[in-house]
Parts: sequence; structure tokens; C-alpha cells
Amino acid sequence: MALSAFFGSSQAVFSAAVVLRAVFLVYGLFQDAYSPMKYTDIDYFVFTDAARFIAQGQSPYARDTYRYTPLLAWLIYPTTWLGFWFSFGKVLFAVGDIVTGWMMFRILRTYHNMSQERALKYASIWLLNPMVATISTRGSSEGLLGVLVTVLLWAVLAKRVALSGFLLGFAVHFKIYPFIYAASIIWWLDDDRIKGHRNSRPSPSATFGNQLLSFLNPQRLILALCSLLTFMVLNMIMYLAYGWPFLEHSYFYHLIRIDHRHNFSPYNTLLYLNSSPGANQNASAQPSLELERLAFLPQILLSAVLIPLVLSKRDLPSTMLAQTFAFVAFNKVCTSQYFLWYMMFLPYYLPDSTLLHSRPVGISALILWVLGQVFWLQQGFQLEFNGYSTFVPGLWLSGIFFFIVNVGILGIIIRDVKSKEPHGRELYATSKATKKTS
Amino acid sequence: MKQRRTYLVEDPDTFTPEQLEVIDGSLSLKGLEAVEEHRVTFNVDELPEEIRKFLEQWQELHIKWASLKPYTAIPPFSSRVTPGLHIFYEPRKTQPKVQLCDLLRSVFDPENECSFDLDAEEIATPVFHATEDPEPDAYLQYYSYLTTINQLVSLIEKKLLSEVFRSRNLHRPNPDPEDIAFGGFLTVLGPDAAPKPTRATDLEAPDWVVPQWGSTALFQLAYPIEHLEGLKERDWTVTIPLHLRYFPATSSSHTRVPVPWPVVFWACDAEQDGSGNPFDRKNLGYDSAFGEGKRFMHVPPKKSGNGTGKLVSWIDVPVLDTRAADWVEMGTIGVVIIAFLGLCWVLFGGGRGGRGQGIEEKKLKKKQ
Repeated sequence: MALSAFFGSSQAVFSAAVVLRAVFLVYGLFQDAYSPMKYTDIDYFVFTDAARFIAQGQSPYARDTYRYTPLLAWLIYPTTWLGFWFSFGKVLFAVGDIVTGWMMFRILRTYHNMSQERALKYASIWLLNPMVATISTRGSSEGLLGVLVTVLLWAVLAKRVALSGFLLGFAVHFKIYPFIYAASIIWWLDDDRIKGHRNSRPSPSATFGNQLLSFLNPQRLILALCSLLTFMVLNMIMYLAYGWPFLEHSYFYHLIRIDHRHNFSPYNTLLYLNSSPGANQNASAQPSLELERLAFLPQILLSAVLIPLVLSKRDLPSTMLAQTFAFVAFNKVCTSQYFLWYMMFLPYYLPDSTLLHSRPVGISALILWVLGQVFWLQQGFQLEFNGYSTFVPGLWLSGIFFFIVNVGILGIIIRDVKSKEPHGRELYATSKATKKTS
Repeated sequence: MKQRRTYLVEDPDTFTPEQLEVIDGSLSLKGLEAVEEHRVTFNVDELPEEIRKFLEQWQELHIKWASLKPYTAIPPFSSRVTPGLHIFYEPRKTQPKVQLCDLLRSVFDPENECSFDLDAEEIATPVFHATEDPEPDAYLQYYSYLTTINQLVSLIEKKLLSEVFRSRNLHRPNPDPEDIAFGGFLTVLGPDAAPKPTRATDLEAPDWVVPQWGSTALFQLAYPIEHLEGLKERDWTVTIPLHLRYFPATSSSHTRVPVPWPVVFWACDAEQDGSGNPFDRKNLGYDSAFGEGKRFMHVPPKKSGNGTGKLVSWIDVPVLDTRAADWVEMGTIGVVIIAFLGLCWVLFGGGRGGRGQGIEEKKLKKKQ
């Protein structure tokens, strides 16, 4: 069968992934040149402008709305050279995609014991996904994040603890949100995991002190130390080089930002309403409780505390999927780029998932997930292009609907991971052993 | 105090000095069909103390106002600004905090929505200027959609006319007709200067968090080539997409925003030695973008304006309608809380799930 021959060859799949991105990249050049609707992401102009400021010996923050680490502008320095070099950043992000796909393939082969064909099929969820290819070739830096997070996952599964710490610190420096993985990785790194066998559970008589001591095992300490050190050293360097604007734009801005412009987040309409000056005087309703200020609570509790605690020892990659899914669904701002953050974990979760094994559940979930976006996009189109005021009820309800769909899917993911025995550890241990002997 | 009257006639040849008559130190004109420009210049120390104190805060202050009504500009006074109130300024360096709002409310428009919390530099946007030229006289600008200047007129009548004019001999026109001149265009050749773009503000930010009054833009239009070659005369359209910021939620579905009609001009290299048209007004916001020695040829706006005889387009900006938003707060918070509790139940309760077992069974079946 042609399809199985295709997925049987890593060369074929990766070539297809490269061609897909090359086609999108070239298509983007044409659309930019001939259509008033630009293919290139507005953020890409921000990055490249910032790189140009760097090339002139200035701070990247001289560019308004540059809200990233200076490293990003340095990475795409060649975009300041003329001609095709302007697309260098997009090529870099697309290469990041491919490397991410390669690491996924390796993880699936080594730690999920998949055959080459099966591993390539699941890695193709990322590699041959037009959405992923579009986002990176439009010049969004999520592809680089994909590399960081996927290599982080690989390093953790390979028990390269110091490297994991370095990658975690780097990823948080790069995009903040990967800090949620610290909890699941730390919790996952228990003694049993490292020694490859199950120790006797802490006896009920164990004192709190003993429990704490056994929790603070060397690998956890190394991870914490390495990630903190990397994070702090990077921040120190950037602060010394670029001063206060670095802290202000890369970190504080993201903590205080309020996104009023319509996006998929369920909070969006409420944020717009409550941040509007004078809106409450006009409304007949009672004054606002401003509960949206507490929006970070359910988000952080779920993604950085509860999900890691309950799930991470059962299946780390799927836990990271659930964490990211919760983080994105409950976030105060949500655009389709954020979907990439969890898509990069799907290949590890889907093989054993209800979504794939129960056709009605899987297909309904997919249809509802797409429908939620279709409803929202339709309302967004009416607002942006026809000037109709669709904020309420249209955009609000479709945002809430999409949120409910996401929470439903998250519920399925959590149930699936929860139903796994924590014996996954033996699986990892044996897979490593077989790898060594082979 | 100095006064200058300029009479603009359609055909300069129809004017002869005989039409001027000087009797007892005052001037009269006979049979002249002309538009009069009356220019009054004061020294700062001639002004009432209140105004003097106010003016002392500024290094530069230029105020232009243009009516919403279409008008025909008579050469050489052909320069234009968009309808509304334009203020170009530069606070004195030694002045700690200068308020523009005082000026706006007390002199022009008591209902202006400027904020007293912000100083004049915060609400400003930079004036365009040619990169290789020195900074323009006033490098900051403010614009306000202002339909009349009745308040200024009554202020001038009350303060200036009563105080200044009372203390002076009003009738001291220049008796020497030689001094009344009709000027030609004095121009100078200069290098083409590319306009420097204004700082792009954060376009994602909503209107109410941006202290600046708004923004101006200067576009070079791509002109159909057949026009240049004189081959065809036909209308052509330029479309400039605008980015709208979010406006505050209010008890209606749209907020109306005035967009004054733009000024459209050719910036030509001046042909003779000199510095452009001496009658051209300066500090209009766009002149400094072209450097010295440019001559501006303006395209007059359509007489009918927007259909109601005004040089303004109204844009309906869709906003969140608070009349329909009663359920937004409780609805959002309620759904989030229920979702959170539901997920906690899946995490901590809800059993280990028959679903998982279902998968196991299915796998077994497959294996069999």
C-alpha cells in the first residue's frame, strides 16, 4: 500500500515535511507581493525590526511591541542582510519545526516502543500538519519553542537531568509558560524512576522530615538548580546588556497585559467590558466584582499544581499535554498559535487515547473543536470586515462554547492518563535496558 | 502691535494704486473686489497677563484651525490643513510640566476630552520631518475635531479687544502704498527628503489606554502613469486601510468617530532661488517632512464634501453594547468555576474510569 510505504520511510516523511514548508514559504512571498492580505505575520516585522536595531548597535526594545528575549532578535540577525535573507527567520522557524518532528520521532521510537512506521505516522501529526507549517512560515517563533520543549521532554525521559534543567530554564526565559512543566518533571523524577525499580512506598510511620528528605533527591535538586541557574544567568546577561526595558517588555508586560481585542479566550468579552472606562456607569447592572482578576487561579492551579500532582507519574508526556491544554484553555488570551503549544504533545498521548480508540468520541471531539472555532471566526469576520457589533452575544457565546469544548476534551485526556497505572516507569526502564543491550 | 491687511484679487492686473486713498493717516480702498486677510501681531508684553503667563510656558506654539466647510483657496494662500484644530508645539525646556488641556478647554472647547493628568508631551505625536533636516520648529502635534472657534472669537473680543485695543491707537494703517506688494513664488532647489515615519504606537492597545490624541499619516500615492503623460483624464481612487482601536463599551452598538478629510498635495521642488512660496503657511504638520525649498500644490476637496457639505467622514466603530452585556460577567465566571470544579472532579473523584478499562478490553479484543 502506497501510504504504508510512505510512512515506512523516514526519508519520505521528512522530505514531505520540508517540501510542505518550502511550498508555503514561497507561496507566502507571492501573497505578500501581490495581495493586500499579507501572509507574513505582523510579529515577524516586529522581530526583524528588532534585529535591525541590534545591527545598528541599539536595543531591540527600541522597536515598539517587541516583547521577547533579545536572543530571538539575535537569532534572526541575518534577516538584516538584504534580499532573500529577510526570510531567514521563517526558514529558521521552519527548520525548528522539522527538528521538533525528528525529536518526536525519536521519543516515540525509544520511549513508546513504536515501530518506525507507527512513530512516523504519529510524528506526522506535527510534521505534516498544515497549521504547524503555516504558523512557522508566516514567521511566528513557536517553531523554536517546539524544539526547546520537545528536546526538554527527550532529555527528561533520557534522564539527562542537568541538560533538562538547562533546557527548562532556557524555555522559560524564552516564553515564560513552560514553567508549568517544572512541577510535572520534578514530581516525575522520583527515586524509583531513576533506579529503574519500585522502592517500597514510604511507610505510614515515615516522619515528615524523612518524606521531605526522600522528596529532595539529588536529581530533583539538580534539575531545580540547573533550571534556576540558567534562567537567572540568561536574565542577568540580558539585563546587563539591555537594562530595564528587557525586564519590562519580556516579563512584566506579560503579567499585566489585558487583551481586549477579540480572541478565543472565554474571558475576552468580560475583560473588554470591565476595562472599558465608564462602561459600568452606563449599564443598569450592579458594579462589577472584578473576579476576572482571579482568572490566573484556576489556570495555574490546574496546569501547574493539580494536573502534575495527579498525573505526571503515570505518563509524563500526556501530563504535559493536559497541563498545556489547561493553560491555554483557561488563559486570558488565546489565539490559534497557542494551539501549537499542546499539539506538540499529541503524538505521545493519542496512541492510547479514547479519542483514537473510540471513534464516536474522537470524531465528535474533533468536530466540536473545529466548530467552536468556526462559530467564533464567523462572528469575528462579521465584526472585522462588516463592522457589525458582534461582541455580545455572538463572540462571547462562541468563546464560551469553545471553552466548554476544550474543557470536555481536557476531561477526556485527564481520565485517560488517570486510568494508566503508574507502572509506566517499568516500561521506560525496560525500554532503556533493551536499547542498551541491542 | 502690528497689523497687516492683504487683499487678494482674482486678477492682479485689474488693480491700480489709484484705487488706494490715504486720508488723515487712514487708508481706504475704492472699487476693489478682493478677499481680505487681516493679520495682527502682538508682542508678548502687550498681552494681558493671564495670556502672557500661559504663553511663556512654550518654546513654540502654533495653532491652526480649518473649517469643516469646503472652501476655495485663493492663490497664493493655497496651503491647507485638514478640518479641525491643529496644535504644534514644543514646551520650554525649563518648564517641568506643561498642560495642553488648559489651553484646549479654556480657549477652544470646554468639552474637550483631554486629560488633566497628562502633560502636553504625553498626549502628543511627533511631527513628520525630513531626516537630514534639523528638527522642525515645533516637533509635537495635537489634533482635535473642532467644528467652530466661537469660544476663541468671544475670548478675543472680551480679552484682547477690550484690554489691548483699548490702550492703543487702533487706526494706524501703513500709509505707504509701496509697502503693499503682490508677491511671486520664491523657491529653492533642494534634495528629495524622505519622510520619517512617526513612531508606530502599539496598535493592539485600546483607545482608552493610549495617551496620544490619535495619529497622522503621510502617504506617497502611486499615481496612474497615463495621467502623468497626459494621455487620459479619469477619476482614480486611492484606498488606505485604517486600523481601528477598540473603543470603550457603551450603551450602543457603535461609536461614531470623525475622520477629517486629508489634505492632498504635490510637493514640488521649487524652481528658483529662495525658500518656497513666501505666502505658504508653515508648521502645518506635513511641510517639515519635505525639508526646505518645497512648493506645495494642493488638490481642493470636493465642494459637496461628504454629502452634507462637510469635510469629514464618520466611521461607525463597533463596540461592546453594554445593554446586552448583563450576563457576561456572571456567565463567564460561572462557566469557568463549573469547568474548574468539573475538572477537579475528574482529577480526584470520578473513579479510575471505565473508559480506561474499555480501552484495555478493546486492546485485548484486537489482540485476540
